[in-house]
Amino acid sequence: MSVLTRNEETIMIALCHLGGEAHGPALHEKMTELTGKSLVYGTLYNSLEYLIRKGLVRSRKGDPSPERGGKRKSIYTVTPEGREALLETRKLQDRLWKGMSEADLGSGGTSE
Amino acid sequence: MTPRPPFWARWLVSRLSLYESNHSVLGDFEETFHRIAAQNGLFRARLWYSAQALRSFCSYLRLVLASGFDLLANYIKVAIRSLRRHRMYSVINISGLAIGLAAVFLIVLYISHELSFDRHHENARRIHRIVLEDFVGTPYILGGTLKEQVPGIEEVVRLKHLTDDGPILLKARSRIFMEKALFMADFSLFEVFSFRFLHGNPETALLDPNSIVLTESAARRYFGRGDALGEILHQGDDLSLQVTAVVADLPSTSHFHFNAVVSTSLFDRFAGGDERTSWTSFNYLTYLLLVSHSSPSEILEKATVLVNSHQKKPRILRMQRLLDIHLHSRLRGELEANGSISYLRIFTAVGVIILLLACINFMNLGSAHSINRSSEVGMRKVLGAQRTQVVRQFIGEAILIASLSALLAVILAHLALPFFRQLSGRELSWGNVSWGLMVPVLFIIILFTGVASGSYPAFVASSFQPVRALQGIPKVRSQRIPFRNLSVGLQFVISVLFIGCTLFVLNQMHYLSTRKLGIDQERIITLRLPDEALGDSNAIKTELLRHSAILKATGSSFLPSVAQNRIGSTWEGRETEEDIPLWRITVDEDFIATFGIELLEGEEFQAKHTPGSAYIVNKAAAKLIGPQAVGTTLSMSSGVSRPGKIIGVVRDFNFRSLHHAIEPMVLFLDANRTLEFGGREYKRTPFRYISVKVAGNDLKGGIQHVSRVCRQFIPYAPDSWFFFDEEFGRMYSTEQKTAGLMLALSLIAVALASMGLLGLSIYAVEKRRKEIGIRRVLGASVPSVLFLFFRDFLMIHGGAMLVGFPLIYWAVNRWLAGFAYRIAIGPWVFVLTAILTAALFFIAGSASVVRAVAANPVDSLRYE
Repeated sequence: MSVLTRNEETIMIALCHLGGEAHGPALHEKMTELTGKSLVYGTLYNSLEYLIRKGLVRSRKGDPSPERGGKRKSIYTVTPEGREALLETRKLQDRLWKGMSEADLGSGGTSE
Repeated sequence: MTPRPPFWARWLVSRLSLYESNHSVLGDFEETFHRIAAQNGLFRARLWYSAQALRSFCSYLRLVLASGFDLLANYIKVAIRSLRRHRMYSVINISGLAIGLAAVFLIVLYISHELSFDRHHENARRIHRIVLEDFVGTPYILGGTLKEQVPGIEEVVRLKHLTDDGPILLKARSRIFMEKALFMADFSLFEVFSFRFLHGNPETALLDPNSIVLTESAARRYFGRGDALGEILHQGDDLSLQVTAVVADLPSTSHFHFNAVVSTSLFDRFAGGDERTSWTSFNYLTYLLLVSHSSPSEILEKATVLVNSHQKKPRILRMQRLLDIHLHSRLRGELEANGSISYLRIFTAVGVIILLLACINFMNLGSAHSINRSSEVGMRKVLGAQRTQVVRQFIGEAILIASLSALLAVILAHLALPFFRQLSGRELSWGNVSWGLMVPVLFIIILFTGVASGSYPAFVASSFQPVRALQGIPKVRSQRIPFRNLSVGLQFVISVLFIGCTLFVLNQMHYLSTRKLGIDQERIITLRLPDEALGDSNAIKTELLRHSAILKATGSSFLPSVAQNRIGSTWEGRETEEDIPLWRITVDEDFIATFGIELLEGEEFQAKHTPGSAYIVNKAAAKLIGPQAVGTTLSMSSGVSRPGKIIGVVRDFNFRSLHHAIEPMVLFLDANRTLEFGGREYKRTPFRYISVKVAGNDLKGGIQHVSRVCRQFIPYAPDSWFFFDEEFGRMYSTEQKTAGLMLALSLIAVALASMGLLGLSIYAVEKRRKEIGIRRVLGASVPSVLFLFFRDFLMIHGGAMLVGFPLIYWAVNRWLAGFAYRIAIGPWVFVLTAILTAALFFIAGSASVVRAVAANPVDSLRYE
């Protein structure tokens, strides 16, 4: 089971926050809200493309709506494999941080 | 009015097709745009849209490049799979193009080598050579006079090949060496021509009369090291030459190669006394370095006037550009056997034909093969591949195969290079090729053949309706058929041409090597005496005859195959005073018997005949002299010999190579001695050659004896003997090499043509598989179906012969015109060509046809 990159993880978590299902703009908004950074659409779609190829996210076409200029939506769903990958990543994260306190990080080198 | 995003940004986003199909990105952008427009105003929204579009575009590029590699990997995988699945096809296709390209590489190598002759001289474009109409020599005095009297000449250099008629012995540190390439030249040699000086100074190298310039390999041979500056070489008893310079070995692309050069200041030693001022002895090669823009024709005109003011009979002079010498000059007395522009043209044509064949095959095979893959195309299209993707895949695949072939071709050519070097007799190397031209041309060839062979399947196959394609019924456009027939026809014509021409060439070479020369060349061993041994020639002859295996022995000035000397003669009873040039060979009284020359009239030379007073002429000369040749008094114009009676007439025999017809010739009787005539002493040409006839039953003993005598008399050059017939065969080495090359290239061309036919017949059968099945089911016999296919082949074959035979006739006729003795262009070779090509086509075509016809019709019809 593969471990997700931070970027992928963020996308998946954002998707889960939105009930495991969202279309592009909603996802983008949620991610901006979660990370506090504005994300370029392009990079979002790159990551989505890879996630789809890995089978962690599925996309299906939704209904067109007038504010979209009559274009169909693509709606993204987290697949069961995606859910598992997310949990796996979480577990790894927990394992890595287990028993660590802030003091263990040291002073961060010799800088003052 | 609803707000709209900037036009260009929208366009940019719409180009992101991968995003669009998978993620409906255009809609997402629009939605967000409207939200921002509603919240923050249109301006902010537009700004946002533009920035997002630009930045998305960059990241899109990254994605496409990355996944592009994936696609490419997929294409390559598919290409390799399809290559492996259709092994026969792949082998024919790749090796066909590779062999063709390799042959073309070698031809290019050969042509560039031939074209680069003498180009290494810095002043090459300004150097010209003055020659006679049929001979390379000019008088010594001409060069000097021209430089003094005619403007526009910067420098003149005169050359003479001192070892032209036999090696000269040079002594280095008490070791004796035979030098076979010693030249004599003016000191301006190094000013006119460019040589790479390793040691010594070009300006002073030949100034001193006793100086000698060596090439590096000659210096190594004589002194064991390259830096031989200051070393001494001895010639004869009294001449010592000091090495004043060492030059790098002359490149193979030079029209002359010397090992050593001495100065013309040594003139008196190496040339006859009055040659320095004579206008009638033409023994020197004169090279002129012209001032830029001076007119060669004007200088030639003046030279002609100069020369002819001293001649009884006007001479025709010619001016040759240095760069033309190797390919265009085939005069008597050339320093080395030159190349020939017409052979070069033939090779160029052959190269183009081979390249065309290889490319046509590649294209035909590629498109024929695509029929098999129509279901693959159908599957791809059903699964959503766009037409451009299929097109790209096919073209990419074809280019991949073409590049593979090109790679293989380079390896093949490199492997074949040593063999090709031997075949062509030229020191070919990749260094002479202009890579700046070759590499782009190679890429163009790869690209062109790749695109051309891929485009038929790409555009035609990809336009198949997926359903029809999957059913395996590709729609073949009927207008492609004439093109295919045309290309089949072309293959046939080319095969017919090559096979026919090769047969004629081989036939002629065989004829030359077996033709009766009018002399007996079997079991004759000839000794070629160096200058130092000339005095011993009588003793050597006597010694040779002592062994029982030596039947006869004779001395002569020239070999009866390489006579080089003509002399103006006249005879009694002629009306004009004008001299007729007769070829001359000086011989002793055993010559006619040793070489088994047939005496037609009169008698042979005998002991009672005094040297220089009795002559024997050949039939050609006798015809010229008149019905009563025997008994006529013959006299030589230049007073070489006394007037004497013609005592006999011999049958015409070939005393020069078979390129030349037999011309009037006279045999002089002579012995080794100086002749006094009219109160003057004449230096006679002594017997340079001693030839013996060896008994057939003791050949081994005879050879051993000759070798022993050689070691005894010429210990410094014990290998001065050779078999006469081998030497004679060497005169045709150029032709033999060319014939060998032609044979090799023809084989390649014919092999390629057969491969093409094989591929096309596979295609033809593939296309008519169902038809064959139906015919078989309806009761047609195997032979009758076979006939159906071969009828087409036979018709094209007939057409090809109709086109090819006149071409063969024309080409062969032109080639044969260069031989005085040649085969007749008879019908048999044509018949043989017809049979051979028919057999070839039958074999190439039948493999697939027979398989298809003999196959169970059920297999071919089951899917209908």
